[in-house]
Amino acid sequence: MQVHRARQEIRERGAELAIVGNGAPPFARAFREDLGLDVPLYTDPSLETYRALAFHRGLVRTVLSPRTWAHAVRALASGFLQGRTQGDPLQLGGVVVVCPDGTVAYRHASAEAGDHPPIADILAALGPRPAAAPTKTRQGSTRGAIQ
Amino acid sequence: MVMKRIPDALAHATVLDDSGAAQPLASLWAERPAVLVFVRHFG
Repeated sequence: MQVHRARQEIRERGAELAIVGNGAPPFARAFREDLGLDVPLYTDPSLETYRALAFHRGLVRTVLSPRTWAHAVRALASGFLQGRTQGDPLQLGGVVVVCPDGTVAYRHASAEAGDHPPIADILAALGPRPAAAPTKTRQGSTRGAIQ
Repeated sequence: MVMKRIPDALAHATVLDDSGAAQPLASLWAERPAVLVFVRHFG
């Protein structure tokens, strides 16, 4: 996902984008710097927010999922499960759109590593962009016409 | 599962910004809808 473009499209629909991870704050800082992120970034090392949103967690869905099979052996051999990743290696993420009244306009829980929702689905949940203001000239107007 | 409203645990949750300062998660949707992308891990 092109984060900056997504952020723009989200803002045009009156919403704001933020990213939440689960590693320690220094890793969040490094993540922000590595990606040149302009978007608000937070972290929840306790994972209570992931649990509250019922996001998935587990070995099969993460390390052993078919999409990551090619990397699984290498990852396990390099200590993937021994806490060298910057967060919980077994936790999956997702996306949620929350309105000011607390209603959930959209929720997607990643079913396995690499499962991300299309940005179009998120934008659809936010509703259309507000219509552009109508122009003041009417058809047939001589405004601007060469006299 | 369909989640129509955020659970209380989410409404009262606190997250940390990248300097370690605590922030109520609910502040992110207080004034406008928030699109929250939860990532697997940072590194």
